[in-house]
Amino acid sequence: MREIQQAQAIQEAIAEEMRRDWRVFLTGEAVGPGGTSPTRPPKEILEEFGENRVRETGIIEQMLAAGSAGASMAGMRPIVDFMYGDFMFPAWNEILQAGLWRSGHGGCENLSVPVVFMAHIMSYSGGGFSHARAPIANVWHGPGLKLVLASTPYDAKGLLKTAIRDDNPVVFFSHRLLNRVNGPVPEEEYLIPFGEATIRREGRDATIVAVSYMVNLSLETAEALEQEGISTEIIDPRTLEPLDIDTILASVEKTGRLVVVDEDHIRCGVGAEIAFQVQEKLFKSLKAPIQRVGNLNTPVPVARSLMSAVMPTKEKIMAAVKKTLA
Amino acid sequence: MALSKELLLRIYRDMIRHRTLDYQMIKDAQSGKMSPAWHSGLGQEVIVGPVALLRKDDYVTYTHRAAYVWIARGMDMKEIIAEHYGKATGCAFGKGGTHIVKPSLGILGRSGMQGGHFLLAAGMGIAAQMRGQGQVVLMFFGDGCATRAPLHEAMNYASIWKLPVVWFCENNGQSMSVKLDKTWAIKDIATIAGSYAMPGKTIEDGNDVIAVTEATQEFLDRARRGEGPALLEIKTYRWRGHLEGDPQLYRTREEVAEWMKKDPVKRFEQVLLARGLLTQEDIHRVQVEADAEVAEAQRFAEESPEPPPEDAFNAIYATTHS
Repeated sequence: MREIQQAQAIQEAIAEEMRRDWRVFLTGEAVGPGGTSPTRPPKEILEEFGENRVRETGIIEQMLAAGSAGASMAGMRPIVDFMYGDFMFPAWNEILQAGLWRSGHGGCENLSVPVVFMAHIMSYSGGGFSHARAPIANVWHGPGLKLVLASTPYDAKGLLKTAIRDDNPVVFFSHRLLNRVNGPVPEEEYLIPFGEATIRREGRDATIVAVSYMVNLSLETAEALEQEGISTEIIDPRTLEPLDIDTILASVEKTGRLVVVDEDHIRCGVGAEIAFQVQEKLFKSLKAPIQRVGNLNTPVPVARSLMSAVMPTKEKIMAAVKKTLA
Repeated sequence: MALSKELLLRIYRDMIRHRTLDYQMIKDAQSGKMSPAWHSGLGQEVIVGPVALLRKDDYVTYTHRAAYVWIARGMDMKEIIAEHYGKATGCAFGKGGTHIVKPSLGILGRSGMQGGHFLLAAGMGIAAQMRGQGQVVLMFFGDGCATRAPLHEAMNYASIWKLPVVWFCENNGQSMSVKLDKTWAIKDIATIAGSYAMPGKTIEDGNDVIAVTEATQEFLDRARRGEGPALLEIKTYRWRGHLEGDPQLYRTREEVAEWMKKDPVKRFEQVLLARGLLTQEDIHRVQVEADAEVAEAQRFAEESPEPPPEDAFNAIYATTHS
């Protein structure tokens, strides 16, 4: 099978869905052919679809979010590229309201908000406190939004196509450290349904649940642990809303140990939620307290030494796994 | 351009229907039958005129003070009152309250964050433009929320993209308890239109329903032709407080009394009488019918059940079929 980069997989998903459905359009800061978005479409896309459907903008996060939500309520299917995950925050009210809109209006006449909010997690970039956040738990916290985190080119394409066809607002995260990673992607069309976790690596001794780039970091860690005779199983939920808790539970039932890894702040985070759900169902199967690895509760620093103190690293994941085995 | 007799009479009838409904809701807010957050539109009924111009497939966004928009757009009073009572028969099945919705009439809901609807309206304009069937968006906003940032992002891009949006400012000079001279450095909000390279117009006598409706028609036609957005501002006044229970310490009784003399409904009635389009009998009949309609709708809402608790978990996500 051919191998392409995750950024190209994302571009292909967008172009294919735009060809399939005239209501789909792309908008965002720097999404034009000369733009700086990691997933800006190639020049041909603009030529093919025109400025009505590739709406490149300047700095208007609120308009991108709520303008697209408004267009989607009125029948279109917009894809918004915010570039950095951090740039969702100026539009936070608008993004959250997109999730509340349908239910808040009782789903009157099947009112829906089929918009995709796409952004790139910029962790480990040296971007600092306002250019390197990973607002994953923030999105997951409230009702109404679906939440997708793609960690391979194959998943990125299949999940994004599903997101575009979904009748709900979907937040789709790629990652700056994943966009240039190659992986097999078939030429023929495929979709990946939401709510189906995938087992990235099978193992016996401990389960690691990780999302986005943390999947890759955990896979590397697993190799190192294997050298020491520790076998880890790695689950990538791929979508947190909806969450395939069953695949996680089945793995933890087998291993009896769980480490959850993500890049958002630990407090009230992804690890907290998954750990709670697992202990609630499998308290008696657990052989050790569940461990979390995430961004400690400090703003993201710039210096590498500080960043490794705050952010997840291979060493921290290894230590967490070993703690469950101690 | 002359407005037809049918349209004028419809506007008059809907102004009376609005006024009658509004008095009922004031009573219900005061008695605790519903949330006290009723934002009365008494005194601003000219808005019925512009809404009456819309095509069935157009979009309209409204402010928190908007029963005249829902009425003029053709919503059933039953589902308006029931929604405010939190009943299962409301348009949002008791989940929306003042966030009234009716997609089939181009009413796609309301953002409780004042001014959020500048952006939503621009987005509906994108949809209308992509569909290419001459739909327009009539977007109502007050002088209060117009000081928020979304106005800038929405108006600027609506002009850049020539979106079919008519921005309609109901300038009643009061942002909750703060007067216009404390919220705006300019007197006429429509002067900002020039900054976005679109036509703007201020109607000083904003309680003249014919003048306001005709000016709106001009901007709607322009938007429908694909010539882009425009900004219309009318100077008007709300008779009641920001919401029921507002002690209104920011204004005098004399000021309110002065504006009540400029009652848009009475003035329009006089015009119609003078033109021979309306008789005293008609006036009486319209009021009797409105009273009966409101009474029936109120009874319906009162007798309707509350939604069952399990409905709280309905409709959070849509089921995808595409």
